[in-house]
Formats: sequence, C-alpha cells, structure tokens
Amino acid sequence: MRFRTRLAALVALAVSVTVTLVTLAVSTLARRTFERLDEQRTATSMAQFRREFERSAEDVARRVESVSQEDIVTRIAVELSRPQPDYSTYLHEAGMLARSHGLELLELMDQDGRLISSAEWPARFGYKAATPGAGTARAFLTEKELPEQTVLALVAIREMSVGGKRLYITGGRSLGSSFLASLTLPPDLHVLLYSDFTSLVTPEGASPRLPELDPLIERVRSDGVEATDRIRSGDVDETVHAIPLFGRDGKMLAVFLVTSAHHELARLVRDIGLAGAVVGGIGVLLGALLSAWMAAWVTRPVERLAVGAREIGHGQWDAKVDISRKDEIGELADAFNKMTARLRDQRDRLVQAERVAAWRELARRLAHELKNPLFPLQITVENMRRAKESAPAEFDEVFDEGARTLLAELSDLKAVIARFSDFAKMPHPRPETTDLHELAGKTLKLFEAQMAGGRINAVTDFDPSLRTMRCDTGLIGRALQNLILNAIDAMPSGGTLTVRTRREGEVVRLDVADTGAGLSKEECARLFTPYYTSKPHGTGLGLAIVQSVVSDHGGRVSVESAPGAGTTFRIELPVQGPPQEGTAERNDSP
Amino acid sequence: MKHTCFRLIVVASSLAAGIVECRPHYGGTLRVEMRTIIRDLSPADWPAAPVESASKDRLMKLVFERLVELDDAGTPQPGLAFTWTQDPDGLGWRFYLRPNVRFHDGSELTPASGVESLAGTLRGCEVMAGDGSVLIRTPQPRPDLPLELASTRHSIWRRAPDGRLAGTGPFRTSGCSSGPCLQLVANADCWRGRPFLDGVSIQMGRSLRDQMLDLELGKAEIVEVAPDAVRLAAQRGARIWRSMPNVLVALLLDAARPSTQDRRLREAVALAMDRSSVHNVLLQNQGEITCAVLPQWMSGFAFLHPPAQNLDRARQLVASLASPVPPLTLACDSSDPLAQLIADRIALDAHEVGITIHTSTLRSGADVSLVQLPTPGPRPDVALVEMVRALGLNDEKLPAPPAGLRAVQAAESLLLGDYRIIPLFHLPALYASSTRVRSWNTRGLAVDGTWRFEDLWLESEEN
Amino acid sequence: MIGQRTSRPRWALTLAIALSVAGTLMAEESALQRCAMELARQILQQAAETERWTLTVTNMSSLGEADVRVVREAFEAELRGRLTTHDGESALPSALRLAISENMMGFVLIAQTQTDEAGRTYVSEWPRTQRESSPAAPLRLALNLHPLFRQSYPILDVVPIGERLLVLDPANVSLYKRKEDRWEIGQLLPLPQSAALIRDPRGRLIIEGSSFRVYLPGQHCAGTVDPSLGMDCIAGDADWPLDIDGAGLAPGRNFFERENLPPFYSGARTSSAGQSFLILAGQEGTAHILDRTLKRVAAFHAWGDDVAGIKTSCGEQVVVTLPRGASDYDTVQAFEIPDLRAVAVTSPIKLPGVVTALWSTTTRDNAVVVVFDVDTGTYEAYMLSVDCGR
Repeated sequence: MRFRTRLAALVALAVSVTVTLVTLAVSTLARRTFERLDEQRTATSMAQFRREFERSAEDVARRVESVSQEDIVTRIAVELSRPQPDYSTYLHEAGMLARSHGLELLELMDQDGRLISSAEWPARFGYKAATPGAGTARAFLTEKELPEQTVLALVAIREMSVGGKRLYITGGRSLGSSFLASLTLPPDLHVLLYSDFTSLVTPEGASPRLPELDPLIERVRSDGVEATDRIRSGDVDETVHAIPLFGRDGKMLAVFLVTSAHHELARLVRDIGLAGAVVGGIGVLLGALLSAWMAAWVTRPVERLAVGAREIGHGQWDAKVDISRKDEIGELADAFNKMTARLRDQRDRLVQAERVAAWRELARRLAHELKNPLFPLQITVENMRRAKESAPAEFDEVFDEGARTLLAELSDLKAVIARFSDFAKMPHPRPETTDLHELAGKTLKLFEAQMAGGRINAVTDFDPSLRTMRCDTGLIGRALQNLILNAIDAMPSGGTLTVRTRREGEVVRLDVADTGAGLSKEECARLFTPYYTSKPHGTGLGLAIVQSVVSDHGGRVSVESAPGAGTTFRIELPVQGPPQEGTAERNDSP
Repeated sequence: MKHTCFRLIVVASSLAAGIVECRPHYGGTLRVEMRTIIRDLSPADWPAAPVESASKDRLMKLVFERLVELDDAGTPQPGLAFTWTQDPDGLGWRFYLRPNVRFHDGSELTPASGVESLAGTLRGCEVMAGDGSVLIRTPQPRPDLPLELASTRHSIWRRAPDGRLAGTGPFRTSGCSSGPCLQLVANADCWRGRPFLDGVSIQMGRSLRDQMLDLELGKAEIVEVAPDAVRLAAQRGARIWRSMPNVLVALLLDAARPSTQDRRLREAVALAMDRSSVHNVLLQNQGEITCAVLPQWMSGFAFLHPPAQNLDRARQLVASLASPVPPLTLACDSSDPLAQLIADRIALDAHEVGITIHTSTLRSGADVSLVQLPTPGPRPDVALVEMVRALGLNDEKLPAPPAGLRAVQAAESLLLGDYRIIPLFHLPALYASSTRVRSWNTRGLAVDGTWRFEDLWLESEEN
Repeated sequence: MIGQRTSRPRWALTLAIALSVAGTLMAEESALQRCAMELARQILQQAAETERWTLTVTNMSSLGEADVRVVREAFEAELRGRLTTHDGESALPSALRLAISENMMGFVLIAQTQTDEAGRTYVSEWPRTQRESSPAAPLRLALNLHPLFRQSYPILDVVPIGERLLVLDPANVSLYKRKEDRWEIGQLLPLPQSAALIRDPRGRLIIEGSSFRVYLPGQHCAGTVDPSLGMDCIAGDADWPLDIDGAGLAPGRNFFERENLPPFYSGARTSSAGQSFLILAGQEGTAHILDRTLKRVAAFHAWGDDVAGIKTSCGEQVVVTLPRGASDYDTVQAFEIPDLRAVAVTSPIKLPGVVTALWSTTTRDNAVVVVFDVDTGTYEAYMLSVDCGR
C-alpha cells in the first residue's frame, strides 16, 4: 500500500470513528428524551380515551333519550297498550330511527322482551329475550349478539309506559372498529380491543389474536386492574397499556389496549443513524479528499525525491529535486541535491579513475602485445650483430634468417595494431529483416571442420515461433562467431556446443552454451572488460566486440557459468531492431 | 277462509276527493312500471327465468290472443276460435276461427295465419288450414289440447310488413323512445271493442323504490309494490291491486350438494321455519302461509299441509344426524331487500335448532335457495307440472294435464315429502295504482295476475 | 267435444240453457251427493274390512249449511256401519276427517284417514256450475233499495213485469219467473252478435204492455213477452229513449251524442216550480242543467256520470251517482232542483258495488240501478225508489 493511500485511510478512519461516536451519543440522548415524552403522551392518551368513552356514553344516552321522544315511538307505545297490538308495521322503525339519530344499534322491545324492531338485526323481530331491565340514565357496556358475531356495545336504555304497558328502547353503538377509529389519537398511538378475550378489534377491523399480548390480557383478567407491558412487535418495541372494561353487572367484558408503538423513537433512531451515516459519509469523503490532499502535500516532495533517486539510479547524475519548502522536507530535498552533487563528483572521479585504469590496462596490453614481438626483434637484431662481429661468414645466412624473423614479428605487430584498430572502428548497425536461425546455421557451418576436429558436437535448439527479426546481419553474425569461437576454445577436449533461440515477447534470446570447464565468478565479472582474456593468445576484444554489437542493437549480453558446469552466453535483442539512438553507451564505453 | 277465494281483485284502500267520473272515459296513456326487462315479445322466444317468463306472459296477453282462453275457473273458453270439435279417433281437433277478426296490421285472421303461428309452437303435431278452421292432428289423443292452446306460448300472431309483431289483442305495439320500455297503442278494431285507453307505456327495469317514487310524483299510474310496502302505499293514497296468490316463495334445497343430502336435515330446516312471524311482519299479512306448492285457491287442498313449526322435532332430527351439520349457504335475490330479510329470518330460525345458515346473494355454490316462483293458474294440474319443471325437479311422477285433483294431490304430497322444496308463502301480485286508474265492472287484474288494461280507464287529470 | 259457445240453432241453445238453469239446484245437489259417495267408495276400497272411523266434517268452502248437510248425509250413508257414534276427536286413532274445500274450478271433497302412523288422503271434486242464478239476498239498505235480480254476467237493464222479470244482458233477453224465493229462467232470446261491441256495454229495455223494445250499441230490437217471448232485431243506430230526443250512443263508445250538445253519459228530465229542466251528465264530470230550449242554465260539479229522473207523489227528484273516489262502492242520492240549485232530499245510500246502469223505469216512478259487486263478482239489479213517507 502506498504511503499516500495509507495516510488517507488513516485520516478517513479517524473521521468515521469520530462521527459514529457522535451519532451514538446523540441517538442515546434522543431515545431517552423520547421515552420520557412517550410516557407522558401515553398517559395523556389514556386520559383522553377515558374522556372519549365518557363522552360516547353520554352521547349514546342523549341520543336514546331523543329517540324516546319521537312521535313514532309514542305511537308504538300506544299500539303496545292495545289488547292485541300489531307490531308488523313497525319493523323498519328502529332502523330509520337509528339512522336519523346516528345510532348503530337500536331495538324496540315490549315488556315481555319481545323484539318489535331492531336496527342491527331486523330479521330478529318477534324474538323473545330477557327484558333489558330498568332504564338507565347512563350508558353502559354490554355484549350484543349480531347476525355474524357478538360485539361489545355501549348502550343506554329508556323505558316508556303507556296504559300500563312498557316499551323499552335500547340504543347504542358498538365498540368496534368504528368506535376505535373515532378516537382522536396522536400518531404512533394505537388502540385495540379484546372484545371477548379471543378476538381482536382494531380501527381497521377484526384482526387475528396477538399471542404476545396473552400474558398481559391474562394478568388484567385475573387482577381486574389496569396493567402495562412492553412487547416486541416486529422490529419495534411497543408499550401496551391494558384497561379492563366492565359491564353493568360488574362483569369484565373486554380489555382496551393502548399501544405506543415507539415508531417515532425507532424513526428517530433510524433518522439519527441515517443522519450519522450521511454526515459520516460526507466526513469520510471530505476526510478522504483532505487526507488525499494532505498526503499529496506531504508525499509529493518525497515522490520527487524518489524520482530523483530513481534518475540517479538510472545514471542521470545531474538529477536534481526542486523543492523550495522551508520544512523538514525542504531540508531533505536540499540534502538530496547535495548528495547527488557529491555523487556526481565521486562518479566523475571514479570514471576518471577507471579511464586511467583502462588506459593503464590498455598500456599494459599494448606493452604486453608489443613487448612480445619486440623481444624476438631485439634477439634477432643482437643475433645479427653478433653474427657479423663473430661469424661474418655466417652473417648472410644469419642475416637472412634474422630478416625473416624480423619481418614475421613485424607482421605480428601489425596484426596486433590492426585488431585494436578494428575494435576502434566498429560500425553502427544497419538493421534488416534477418532470419536468425539461418544466420546461426550458416555461422555454425563456418566452424564445422574446426568443431569436427575438436570433437565438438554442435546442437541447435531453435524456437519455431521466431521467424525473422530486425538486426544487422553482419554484426550479429560476427558476435555469434566470437561466441562460438570462445565456446570451441573452451572445450579443448571436446564437448557439446548448443545454440538456442527463444522468443520472449518482443525480445529474442540467443544462447550459446558450451560444456567446457566453466568460469569462476571473478572471471565472469571481468569477462566483458576490453582486452581481458583468459586465453594464452587472446586479445580480450572478442567479448568486448560482442557486447558492443549487442549494445548497439539495444540488447544486452550476459553470462551464466560455474566451474565445471560449462558456460552459457546469452544475448537478448529486441525483435523490432535497435533503437534509433543507441550510441551513447558505446561512446561512453572506454 | 270462506269466500276469500272469490273476493275480487281490486280493493280500494283510500278515498280521493274530487273524483266525479263514474263511467269509463276514453283516452289517455296508462304508464306502468315493472322490474323485469322484456326486450322481445316474440312468442317464439321465452326467457328461462320463471319471473321473467311470467312478466312476458302478462305483456303478451295485452297484444296477442289465443284460439282458446281460460276463464277464472280454468275452463277453456272460446277465444279466436269460437268453437272446436274433436274427431272420433281422438287424434284430430278442428278449431273454428271467429270471423271478421283482424290483425293489428289490418290483415284478416285466416286459417293460414293460425297455422303459421301454431306450426312453430305445437311440436309433434300436424297443423293444417281448413275451411274457416285450423285442423290439428296429434300422434296420441290429447284431451288437454284446448288447455294447452290457452297458453300464451300458442298466441296467434303474424309478422307485419314493417317487421313488427301483429296480434289481434286490445293493444298493438309501437316504438319505444328510450330505455327498456314498451309502448302499446289501443287497437281500435279489436273485435272485443276498443280499449278505453289510447295507449299503455310500460317502463321496465325500474326498482320498486323508483316505481313508488314515480307513482307519488305522478310519473306512473301503475307500479309494482312489495308486500311490506303495501300498507305505506295505501297510506299515501295509492290504490292497491292484488291478484290471487300467484307466486310461491319457497326454499329449494340443492339435491346435488352433499350438505343437503340427508333428508332429516332437510326436514329439520322445514320444521324450524317460523312462517307466521315472517307473514305477519315482513309480508304484512299479504298472501298466505303455506306448506303446499299449489295455493289453496287453485288446488283446494293446500290445507292438507298445515304449516307447523316444531323446534323440538327439528332438534331431534339434527341430533340424529351422524355427522355435525356443516354451515349451509342460503342464496337469495340480491336486488330484493325483502327476500334478504326473509333469508336472514330463515337463518335465524334454523340457528334455533342448531343449523347454521349463512345468507348470500350468490346463487352459485349455495346449498339452499330462496326462490320466488310464479304459479301459473288457474289449473292445478298445469301449474304443478310447470312449477316442478321450472324448479328443475324430477317431473317423471307428475300426472300429465288434464289430470284429476286426486292425482295432483298425490303428486304434490310425494314432492313435498322429499323436502327438496319447502314452501313458505303464496304471495299475490301486488300493484299500487294512481287513483286516476279506474275499473268497474271488470277486473284490471285477473286471478292469476294477468293484466287487463283493456278494461281500465283514466280519470282526467283536472279532476 | 263442444266448446262453451257453439253455433247451434237459436231455439236449441235457448232451450238448453233454460233447462240447465232451471235444473241447477237439483243437478248441483245430486252432483254433491255423487261426489260424496264417490269419495266414500274410495275410502272403502282402501280400508280394511274391520276398520271403523270417527267422522269430523269441516267446511272450508263457500257452500251453505244445507249443502254441507247434503254432503255429510251422502257420505255417511255410503259409509254406513263403518262409522262409530262416538263424537270423534282428531286425536283418536281411527279418525276420519272430511273437508269440503273449493278452488277456482269447483268444489273439492277431501277425506283423510289416520290409522296408526299411516295416513291416507282421498280427493273427489265436482265443477262449479257455470251459470248461477239465485235470488237476491236481503240487503241492509232495504228502505229504498229493493233487490231484484243477480247474475254473474253483466246486466244492462231489468224490467219487472208482475211476477216475471225481463232481463237484458249483452247476449240475451231473458224472462224469469218467480218460483217461491228464487227466479227461474222461463225463456231466453239470444241477441244477434253485434259488430260494434264496446267494453262498457250499455243497453235499455222499454216495456210497453206486453211488448218491449231493446236498445243496444249498433242495433235495436222489438219484441213481445206474451204469449211467448219473441224478438226481432235491426242492425243500426237509433235514438235512445232518453229524456231528450234525438240522442244516440256514439259509435264504438259508451256515451251519447246529440247535435248542439256536449257528449254525455246519461240524461234525466225533471221539473221544479213549474219549469222543466234537462240534466245531462257530461263526460268531463259536470252535470249540465238545460232549459227547454236546451240552453245551459246551470252546472253541478259534484255528481257522477249516471242520473235518472223519478216522479213521485212528493215531487220530481233526480237520482244521481255520487263521486266514489277510490272506493269500489258507489253511493246514490236523490236531489231536487229548486231555483237551479241541487238540494239533496235523501241521505246518500251506499251500494254494494259500482253502478253499471241507472235508468228510470218506463213509468218514471222508480229507477233501476245495476251494481257490480266487487266482493262477489256478480251483477245485481235493484229497484230504487224514493219513499215520500220518510
């Protein structure tokens, strides 16, 4: 992970943790506050329900009273007082009275409990039931049987008496869905009714029983007093207040439940969480941007330093980091620039030293190369002088002999000088499309006789995917000749010479391996030094020429060898040929 | 019950001041409203539903006539045929056509036109034109042929050049301006005499409530009225017309459903019914309580099946059932609030003996149906056969008309003993009419509920 | 098989109907007896030899007690020896219930036996007699309303001739003779079928000594009562014997027309203070009072469509039908016209139905009113008279 990334991540993490902690703290505080408010609100709602219930009871009683004052009711009462009353015409009266007086339930009943007219169950006319008892000033709760179900109802009873016969008017409203829906409640507060302890009525209608409420219901039924419980409904906690509702005879008929669903709290927590997430997200984003900017601000000089170091590494000794800050980074850049300056000085000195060494080596080689022929020249000349002085008769013969020797040695001197001259005059490569395998084959053929004499077995291992490449055929052939010659020289007792090609992407690899005695590490290190040779009569320019050719083609040459394991020279060349500029290194080379 | 059978139909229920006319006046259009919609008066096409079929029958009798008519006693009387004879072999009948009778399009009634009408309706019979008569040959002796020819399905009619159906009755059809309706115009050349009315406008598809409103607003002169609205209509000044009870209200238990397979359950349902409460209150004492298919006025033996609510016996029957009684579904007419109330009461009564019945307005899938079936009178033999067929019950053991009362009674007893059908009430056709509608020495409504608008007249409005 | 109305020769039809009506009672009694006996035989065929019954008879029909007695006696006679003398209760195991019922077609005898669990039902029937003629029952309004005759067919006019009664209906002129307390058909003359039938049939019968005249829509007839009933009819319209000359029934309609007068249903002549007036019951519900020159001098708006003038020892009155409203029962009342005002001189009398005809008698001392009784479905003719002694 890059330093800049790591730095940005650390900053973002710090921001996120901070935001999360703040959100949790706010959420907790809000929850506690809300719970306090919720308790207050529930208490208010309970009081409101009781007021609403009382108001409904008064309303029912008032409406039933107004029904009892209707003319038609009086007429029914008068009809009842007749010896053989005819109820049949009053069948629909209860329904009409109920509608006109806004009552859901209304029944007219004679003193024997015979139903004259029923709004809620018209078909029940004529049925005899228990007389409803004395009229009441207040409404009360009771259970009313309807065609499909028994409902809890808030009813009031009025009694009329005409001619000694009584008419009962029982009217009210069911405590069902509509009643619950009529209660004005704050949001998140819900009311439920366990009308017969088995079925649940909600403002929306009948609902399946909730098993989680059973313990609370049972507690209220057994204790007969209000109770509160907290249940889990889905993802939300609910506080449930249960109020037992009693009928006129004191029998508990239903349990009224007020549930505070804590949706607000959940919503608040969710909102805070959401806000925290949003703020956190924004914080993280800003943090990331900030950290990126900071990291960039911090790391950009470092990166420049790194670039500078890399340039230095690549040999660009004049690389300089331009940082004009006054802080530690500026000091670091300044130190870097000073360091590179010192390195340049040292390099220059080193190059100069190396040049001196090279010249020394050259001088040594020249001295060595020149000294060898000079010594016979000296001997020959001395022999000729001595012969002239000591044996003039033989002088001619000696002279002839000495002249031939001198000419031979001078020829050797010219050859030495020519080789050095050739190396100095290495031409620039002229790339052309070349079949490397054909070139390698032809080159091997040049040494066929020599290898046969030396019991050397030549093996080729060509990559069939490599067909042609761009290179200077002559130069590469010359380099190959030098390597093959080296390999032959390395196997005086015979062996196997292997020429191998491989294509690796845009690079062609050419290996020339022998099974000779191999080289030591030190020999390998010095192998490509010009004029270095391990052979008794080598000039030390063969591998230097190979390196020069390969370098001019934009490639590189390497050696793998170990004592007793043979030696493999490896040339790596670009398939597309040498780059346009490629002479710098050679020029720089000593 | 003495004399009640012969009480006539038109019963005045209120006095309207200011009406001074006593003798029939000519003119005016009688506006009538009805619930059912009859779009086609062609005798060749009959609606499947019994109530619609009865409505069409009433309308057709205003336009078409038959060779033979039935009097109130169900006896064949001369119609377009003034007399008829039967061949000695019993297979041939000759109906002599009344002379000088013309169709509404002015063409004369001829034996050929009689043959044309009857050839399509008298299946299996050979109908030929004779000299002033229509000859009918039947494969087997058909003593009931005059009876059958009195059916509206054998009306004499022809297709007029303008495409309209032409009959010989007191009214001819005319165009209808809007909605489902029928316009009738007095047939001035009717051989029985021109109707007093200039025409009759019959508006169809009107709910009972709308009909009553239209009557009160003076938009209609004759409207249908439900039994529970009779008293109110009378109180509001309408005249109430009632026929003899001609509609059977009954429970029909679906034989195909496993829930009603057990006869004991069906009998328990029958015994649980408290008919008198429904009759007294819901039906406002209109019609009769019954346990018979045929009404007393028609058969004379409906009293053999006295209505008896026996809750103890019903409970015993329910208790004797091998498996618990599944809830039954009782279907009733969704457009009839009274029927729904009766159905609710039936469910309540059944609940008393431990049978749960849920009422529904969907016929499909119902175990029990509350049906209203016209009793085509006045002949009990004909009525029983037609009713049983209309109910979709097995009619194999029914005596073919004309049949003696003994056979009819035996067949009805057999039918009732199975408790597939549980008769509840026989209701009359009930109409509320404006006080402008007058009738005097004839009845505006036949015993079987057939309209006799040709004998009505309208008081002038300024009176 | 012959239809109800055939084209037999007129004399044969007359004789047949006369015999039929004359023998109505006897025939009905024997039919009752035969029906009861046939029912008893059905029971005997099905019952075991040893079976005995206790008989209960219930009458659910409109038959009177005498007829029920006839049925019971015939039934018991056929079951003689099989009935116990014990006054049976329905709970007895061998109960035999006999019910006399009726339907629209006729009377029905139904017997039910109850032995053990099994019960059997037996049915026997006899058709209702088609033409019933019975004496008018005493009515409550007898002070000035005298019942004359009743039948189930329309009555157009009735004229008493001593102990005989000449009756005009849309199809026949019939002469009845009083026999004890009922009228017995004497002779019957069918009227020719008129091409001009109207649904409110109207007809007038005028007796002059032993001859009579008949006025009907589209035809008029003249005939004699003695020595035998005979009549000739002429097709065509004629002036009707109303209290106004030159008035006839409008073709195909039920009202009268006369030149220079509005259409009217009925007319009556009366006088007051030496002045003669003509009263016409107009179509529009107004009674027009015309003087000798047929000039309208007054109009009354509270009268019905039928008026008839009566001349009594106490003056001249006009009997009129009163508006009946929505009721099916007409009321008649007598008025006098002093000073062109309608002054009621009698209380209104409620009739048992609606008036279908109201004519002054030939002598104008009484009026004949025909009423359609909506309860019984019969037409009843009454003699309407004003009793000056009241």
